[in-house]
Amino acid sequence: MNKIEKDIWDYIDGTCTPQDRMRAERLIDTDPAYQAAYQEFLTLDADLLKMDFDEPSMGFTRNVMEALKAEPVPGSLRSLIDQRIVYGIGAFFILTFTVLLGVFLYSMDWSETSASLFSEIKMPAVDLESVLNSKYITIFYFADIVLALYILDAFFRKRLHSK
Amino acid sequence: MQHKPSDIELIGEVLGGSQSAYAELVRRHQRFIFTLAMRFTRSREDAEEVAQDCFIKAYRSLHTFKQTSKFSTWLYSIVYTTAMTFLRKKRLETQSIDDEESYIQLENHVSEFKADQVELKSRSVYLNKAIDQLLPDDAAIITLFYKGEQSLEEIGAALGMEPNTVKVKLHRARHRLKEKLERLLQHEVKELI
Repeated sequence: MNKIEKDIWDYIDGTCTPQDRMRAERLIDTDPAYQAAYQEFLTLDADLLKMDFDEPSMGFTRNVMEALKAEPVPGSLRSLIDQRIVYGIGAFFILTFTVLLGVFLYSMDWSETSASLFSEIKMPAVDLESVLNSKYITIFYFADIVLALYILDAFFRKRLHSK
Repeated sequence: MQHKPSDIELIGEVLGGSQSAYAELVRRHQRFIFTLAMRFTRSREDAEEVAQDCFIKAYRSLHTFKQTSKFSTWLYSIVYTTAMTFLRKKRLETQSIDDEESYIQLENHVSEFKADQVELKSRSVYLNKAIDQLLPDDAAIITLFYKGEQSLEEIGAALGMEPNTVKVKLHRARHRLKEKLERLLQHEVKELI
């Protein structure tokens, strides 16, 4: 790209300084090379401005909205929770359960007959009185209320969207 | 007269839970986004996929839109990354410079458009053909500047470039477009003769 092209485009786009603008105007008036380039670029510029957009298919918006139907509201708590975290928590519990089961099965004495096997298993004595005190029950109720509010919120949002 | 909500108002409604407001945003910008996607993919099917993907991604991260730039500028940055990922996945090779050179060469190079000699086809047809032959980046920058009503500063913000760099890129893109257009018109002139 030569200097004439650069000067003319800057002049047409209006991106040059007032001094450069005056200089370009003078050159367009006096220099035939500038004059020819100016006419040529002006035509191209006008053609580019008249250029049409490409049209997507008729069902474009419908397809996009169909894909977004099940999406949570952007920025809502649900949309911010990474699915991988949920899967990670799930994997942690499954792993814990598997390990406990493994330890339990490993510690069993398999030489005994099946009838006596289970009769030998002694469940640990759990003191329910100490677990189910008022503090734990309050926490349990609180978690229930939070869960209920979350489900209620999701229900009302769905109703709002379907309207 | 019914008030036509601005993009920012519609975005507010979407963040408040209205999906129909987002449908309006999609309708408003789909032609621009689809045209940009076409510039990168050069196939209607692929462009449709990229454009849809772009609107889905935009919806998911709408809460991150800072509203310091136009919504269309923000959308463009998503189209660009989506199209690049798509092309990488498809391993679609863009037309190389060698391919461009193999395009019909004529012995006598004329520097002016011969629009008056080509009356059978409109200039816009040739212009679209010439744009299709450009490299995707060149085609996109021209589309952004002329059809996206984006200033050099806005294009620079979307592309992560200085406005001056965008200006140089735009000049070069138009220069290459002019060359392509001249070649196409010369080819047509030769056919007519």
